[in-house]
Amino acid sequence: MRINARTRQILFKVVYYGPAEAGKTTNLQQIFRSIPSQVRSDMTVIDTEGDRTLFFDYFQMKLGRIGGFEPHINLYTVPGQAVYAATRRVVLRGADAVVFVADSAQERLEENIAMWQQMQQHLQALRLGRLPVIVQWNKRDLPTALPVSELKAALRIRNLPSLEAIALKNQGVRETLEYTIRQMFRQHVQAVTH
Amino acid sequence: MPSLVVIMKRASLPVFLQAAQQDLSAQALLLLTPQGKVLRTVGEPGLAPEPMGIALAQTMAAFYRIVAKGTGAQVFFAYEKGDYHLVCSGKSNTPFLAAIYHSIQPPPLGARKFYLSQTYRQSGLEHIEEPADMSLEAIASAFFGEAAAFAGEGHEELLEALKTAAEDMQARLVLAADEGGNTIEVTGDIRSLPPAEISALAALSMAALWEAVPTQPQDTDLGCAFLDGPEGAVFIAQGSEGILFLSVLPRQGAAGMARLTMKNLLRQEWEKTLSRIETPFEFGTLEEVSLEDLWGGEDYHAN
Repeated sequence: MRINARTRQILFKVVYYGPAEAGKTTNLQQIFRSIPSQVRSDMTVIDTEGDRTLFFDYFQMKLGRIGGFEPHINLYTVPGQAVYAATRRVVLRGADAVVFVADSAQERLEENIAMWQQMQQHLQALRLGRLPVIVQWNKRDLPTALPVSELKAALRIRNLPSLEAIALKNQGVRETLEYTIRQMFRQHVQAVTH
Repeated sequence: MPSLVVIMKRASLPVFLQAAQQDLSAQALLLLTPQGKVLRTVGEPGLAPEPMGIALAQTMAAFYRIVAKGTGAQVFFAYEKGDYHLVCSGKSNTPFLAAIYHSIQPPPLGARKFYLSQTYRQSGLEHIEEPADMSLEAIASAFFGEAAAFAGEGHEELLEALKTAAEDMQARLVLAADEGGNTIEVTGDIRSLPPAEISALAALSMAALWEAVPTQPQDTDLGCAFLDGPEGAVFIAQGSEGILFLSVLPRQGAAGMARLTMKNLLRQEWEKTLSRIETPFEFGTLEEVSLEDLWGGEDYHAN
């Protein structure tokens, strides 16, 4: 989080993290389309010709005014392919909250677990271990989607907040973001008052 | 469909690259895919090819948005950290060339730009010939002198420093950003050069390069990048503390001047200034925020 007292802006950074093709970019695209253009920037997409994320997707949204300040949320995705592990650590720098987008399909379970473990290592390395992490179980409409209880057990995250989504149909996307923003704000309030 | 000349050029690429490496006096010359895969290496890079290739490809793609968005033009990009000096030239979403120098004093930036850009055009990797506009090089060493003392408090102090630097360089925009990609302060043409996007692109690119070019901590506390394209030139100086300074220069801007000014800017003692910037804030009010008004874009009712 960064506060600019002169311009009265507060900047937050939320990173959408997860395995390749789990729906991170789709989440961002749906949010981008769902909010009025006057409260968001253009969307920056750095991808390859095959539409796979090469570096990150990004846009900024404003949240009105709070106590005389104007919060801006910077939303990022990471590239999901295995070869971009170092890039994911780079994009996580300075994050205020992370949305882990998991693919609910049974055949993607191992990738979810590997990506989750790698994210934990990155967060520890960046000293972001206490960051709010919200899990989104995406692609709930797939016939091979595992029950959420099984996914939670596999990732060993019984106590973490999680939401179900079908990002492609814009279901659960808004709820995930709102929940994440609230968790992020709560974390900052606690950090200051305790 | 590539022409016969282009096909012949591609067939003789290994020989061509070897000759080019010698002409460039580089430790290594690399041909990379837009995804960062190293297709060919001539010489000894001295750096791990995979992370470096990916970081360079990401940086080329990110920086292309700043200086050549939508033009399809050839761009040039240079990065230095410690004794490592990397230069790249190419177009968006096509293979590009990277030359690596590992020395205290590599050839001048202008020479590296000219020869690498020319090598790229002669390589047959692209079909459209676009003359490189040589705007660069060498301004006085006078700017290495004592840095100006900055007055004021917090943001005002930083903003004043940025304004002075912008004036010295005749820059279109000068900004300071943190390692997470947030803009700390900015001055200049923020209407046509969106600072939030530029900060994100620059900070993440520089972080990727910083990791890809490992040097001993005592060797350097500074990473610099210069990029040049049809929309202008950009100079970035990044310190180990995470803060970076970026300037966008007009097309005919003096890169040498920018290099010196930005390095001097980074060498100021910003730690105390930045700590004053983080003014107390009533965090309790964050919990009162209503998110209801946020939604209502074109697809909102589709849900």
